Amino acid sequence: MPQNHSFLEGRLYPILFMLALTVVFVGILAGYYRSSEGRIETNRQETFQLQILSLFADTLSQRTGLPLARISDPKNLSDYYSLYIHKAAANLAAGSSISSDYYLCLAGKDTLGYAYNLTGSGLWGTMRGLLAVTPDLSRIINFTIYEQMETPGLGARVEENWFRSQFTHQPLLLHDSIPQFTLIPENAEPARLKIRQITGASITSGSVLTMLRQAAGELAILHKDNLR
Amino acid sequence: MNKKDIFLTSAFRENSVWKQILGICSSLAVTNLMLNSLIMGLGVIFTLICANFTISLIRNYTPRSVRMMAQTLIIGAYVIIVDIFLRVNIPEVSKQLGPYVGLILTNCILMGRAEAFAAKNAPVDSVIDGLGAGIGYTLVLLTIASIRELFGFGSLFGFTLLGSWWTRWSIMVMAPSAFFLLAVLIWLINDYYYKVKTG
Repeated sequence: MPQNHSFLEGRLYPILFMLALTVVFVGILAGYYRSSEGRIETNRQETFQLQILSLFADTLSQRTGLPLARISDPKNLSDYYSLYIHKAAANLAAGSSISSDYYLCLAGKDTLGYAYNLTGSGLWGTMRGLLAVTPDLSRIINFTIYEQMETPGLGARVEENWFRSQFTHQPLLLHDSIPQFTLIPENAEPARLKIRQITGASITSGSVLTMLRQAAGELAILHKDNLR
Repeated sequence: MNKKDIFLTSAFRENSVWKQILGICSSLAVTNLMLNSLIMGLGVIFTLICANFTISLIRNYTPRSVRMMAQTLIIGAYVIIVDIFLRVNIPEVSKQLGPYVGLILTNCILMGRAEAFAAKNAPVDSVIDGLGAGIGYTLVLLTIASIRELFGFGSLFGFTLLGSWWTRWSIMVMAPSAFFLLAVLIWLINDYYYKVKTG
């Protein structure tokens, strides 16, 4: 058969074309990402710091008399964060679900609580959360999930206020025993150790409880070794 | 076809979802909340406009043998741009949408419009076609999301409309409701068009 292909349909041109197209678009993306990288990292850090400060907002407000809205206002983040939150490192075993870095909330010389960075498995991927506890670890001050890959509108609702606020004031380590949280329907009445699950996302809801139980177990060991 | 016709055909007469049954996956996935649907729709509109424009601009230089690879690369690049833009400017929304931004790439409407229109028509017409297809898709998302969010959460765009007296319909929050609603929507619209056609 006669070879009657134009240059556009030849063997070399498509390769050159794709190469050029790839170089152009990868170049554009690399440039855009590089120029935005700093802002993305700043956003991530600010969100994280605000989450930690928000965990202690109630406690700080009661202790210092500052209005709650003022503490949680992103505009005051850098001032209040550097004033009240201090980073420390714990001696944790490798493979622990708690990060070795933890955060102390200090008002003057008094420790108001600790915040631990937790990692657990959700339905689709890793979930990361922050658990704020009283200095004696007996009670949860606040809890939040700040990173997850769950289904938007379903499992991703673990970040919603109604879900996370259920953990506030729940017991954590009473006489070193790990709390046995159980799930109840979303429209049920909240109660001690009963957590209202997210409708349509029972696996994610259960994963959060597993994450907390695991963290409580590890904190019990940490509490014994380091905090007493 | 004039510009108005291109837009109306792409957005309504040949709507990608109810006429061509494309983009069904994301129509089912993100429609339990109106905000998610709106952001997803805007992301698709932006990607469709930019991808259609670029594909149309280089259509005379694109070898047939690699055209779909080229289209995928172009669409993918614009999806990443949307993702970076959201992470820089609206990090809360970016976080909420999570993996769905990346999934714009797998939306059949984008490849469909690139192959069916942008690869054969002038850039301006392709932009109008992309805009129309994107708006048509977004309208379908918002229609389904409005019903699901209202009955499932008692709210619209997060604003509570039905008070605590309202018993939430759990089925509306879950994926099967999107199947039923989408099926009913396709049925009603096609029935309407059929009646108009047969007069």
